[in-house]
Amino acid sequence: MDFETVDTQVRALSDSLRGADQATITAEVERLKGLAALIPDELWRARAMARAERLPELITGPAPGTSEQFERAVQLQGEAASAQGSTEERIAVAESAIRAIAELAEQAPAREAGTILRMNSSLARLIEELQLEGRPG
Amino acid sequence: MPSQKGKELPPSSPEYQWVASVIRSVEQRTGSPTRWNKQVFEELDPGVLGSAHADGTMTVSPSMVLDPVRQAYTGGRPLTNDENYRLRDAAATVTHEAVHLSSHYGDPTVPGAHPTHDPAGRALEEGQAEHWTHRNLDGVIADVGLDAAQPGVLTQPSMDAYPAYTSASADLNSALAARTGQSTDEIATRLIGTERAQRWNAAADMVIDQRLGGLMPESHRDAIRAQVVAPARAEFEKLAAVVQADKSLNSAQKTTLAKDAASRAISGMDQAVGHAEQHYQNWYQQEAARQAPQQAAPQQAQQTTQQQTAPQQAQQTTQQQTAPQQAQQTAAQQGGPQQGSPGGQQRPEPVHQGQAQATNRETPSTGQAVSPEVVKLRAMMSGGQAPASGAVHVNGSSTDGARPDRNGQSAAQHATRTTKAPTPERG
Repeated sequence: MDFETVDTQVRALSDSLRGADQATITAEVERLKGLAALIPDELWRARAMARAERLPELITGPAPGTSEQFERAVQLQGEAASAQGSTEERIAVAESAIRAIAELAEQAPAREAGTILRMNSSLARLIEELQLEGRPG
Repeated sequence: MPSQKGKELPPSSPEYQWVASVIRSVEQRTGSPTRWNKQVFEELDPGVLGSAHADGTMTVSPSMVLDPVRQAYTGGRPLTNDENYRLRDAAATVTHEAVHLSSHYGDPTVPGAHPTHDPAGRALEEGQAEHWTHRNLDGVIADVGLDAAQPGVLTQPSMDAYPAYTSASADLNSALAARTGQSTDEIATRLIGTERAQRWNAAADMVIDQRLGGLMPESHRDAIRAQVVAPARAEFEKLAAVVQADKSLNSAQKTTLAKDAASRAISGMDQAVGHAEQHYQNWYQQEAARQAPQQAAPQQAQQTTQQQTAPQQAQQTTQQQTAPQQAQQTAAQQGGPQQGSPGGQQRPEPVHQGQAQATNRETPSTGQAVSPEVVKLRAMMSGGQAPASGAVHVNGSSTDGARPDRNGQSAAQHATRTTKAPTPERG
């Protein structure tokens, strides 16, 4: 038994078990962990175990945050990403959103702060693209 | 100005080496060459964790990314649960940005290309990058040895940064996988590896080739693509403004709405392909009926034999890339119109919007095998006698959902028939 075998099954099951009931998913996780336990190398065995336990998250996708700050940050990202107007206006909206999202990250629960701040990367990218589009030539 | 470049990391530094190893891991796993320019800078803006820049530069936050990573390797102790969570966040940041570095813009000005920086393109790009990151972060972490230093980083949950974009992209990939017999990971790899200006076309081609292979003249592909892409782009275009920005919905609800949008996107793609499929089938049947009186008697005996094997041939012709050879053999056996015969052959005319879809009174049955006449006509088409090129406009007024393919099988059944275990149909 090796890690690749476990990982291949995890990936395939993450597709085929979409919509499956929890009991079925749990049973598959246990089966995969049984396979992982057979891997002789300690590091790869630990990786395979973790991969097996990742199956439920791979099936549904990771959950978003739930804090008030997270929800507000998502809204601000969406508003900035869809803002209309001149290039300068759109850049201003995005810059304002980045500031607001950074403040929300400071107020948010610790485990959501990083994900909230990651939203700003898309807005930084948006601003750069708008600036490049606005350059003559 | 957001995302400001601070101090450049020396290539000999452990921090630079770590970032470089993540970028290389993503490049290898996506199979898409990175456009990273070998430069890494500290990110000066405290509101930005990291960013892949248009010039190929990577910036990373010293406090939120480099410090946790440095501590993981040199701290000399196991990290706490919270520290491992922040470490995983740091790895996710650099991995996500590295996916953007493996995503190339392409040229949106060439005929048939799509905008790369419009709301639809951005939603697809961010959604695909985030989705890929979630599915492959464990592998990247292993590649760079981060879990060897801190095993707990692999046991932390992930969190989605873009509830609308990620779930829509994930469901789009899942639907395309069901229609092509590929895995969602293969679909994701293919889309990320396709330049952004052609990405929508790549998605459309997956659906087109699965149902119109051997049926559609290649010269019609651009026109068919446009019809297939349109409903998908229309749904993704609204994700930022209508779903992500909605103040009345929480993120879980936005995820659900985004899945609905992806479902409508793929349904629209199916409808467009279905209309084209019906158009071509009608044309071939009409051509067969028109040419039937011209067949000589000896050929009828051969045709009878051919009819006995037609269902099998018909099934084979609907599979990918086997139709041209078999159809050519059929035409040669029957002594019918030879390959390369000069014109005089009628060709499918474009179906303009508003025009009645079918002049043939027979409604194509979902369980109907392709007739031998259609097989013969395909042989003529594959022999270089392409129908007239020109726009093929599809009437999109039908309200039916995803149509079965030519064998009367649903997309899920088709996926089952090829290689995969049954997948719950999600769109």
